[in-house]
Amino acid sequence: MARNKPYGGTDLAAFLTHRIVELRPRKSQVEIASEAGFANPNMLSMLKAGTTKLALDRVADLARALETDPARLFQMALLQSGHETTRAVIEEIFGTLVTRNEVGWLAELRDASDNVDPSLTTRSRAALRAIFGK
Amino acid sequence: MTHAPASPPKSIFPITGNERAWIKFIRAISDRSDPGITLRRIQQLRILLLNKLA
Repeated sequence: MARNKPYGGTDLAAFLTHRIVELRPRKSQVEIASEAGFANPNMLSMLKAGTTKLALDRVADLARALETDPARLFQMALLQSGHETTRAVIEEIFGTLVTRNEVGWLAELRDASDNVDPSLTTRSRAALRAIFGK
Repeated sequence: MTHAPASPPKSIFPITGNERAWIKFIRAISDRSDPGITLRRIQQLRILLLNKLA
């Protein structure tokens, strides 16, 4: 990891880069920065490049601007800040932070399995890879 | 006066250990893109579970 890009290659930097491209037909990076309340429109470029990290108190506004789930962005911001211990404590006390999409997947998993709480087997992993094209 | 909690804290969304494994694997193979639910994916998931539980 380059010294001037301490957060380069983090999940958050990769996610942000991907999400901004996805939103490009509807809103520009400058508009996203403005919606997120960043005074400096270059902040998103800095976050994407990994020259700076996302402050936790900016997560909610940025998630809204990115039209993404704040729980997922919060997890990535915690990890980016080196707060793995904090993340683990939150998970232990409050449970796993899941996004709305993940709640949907879990609901489908429970419904389709008649709530038998199926384990994740090697065969399940292979099938999931097929479902997600991996 | 003590203020010890009378009951364990409620989970944000209580999930089992198995479900946690499913979610973590989906996160890993989707590059943390938080994939949405589509009809095709649900159909494939149901087929997977039917085969698994048969």
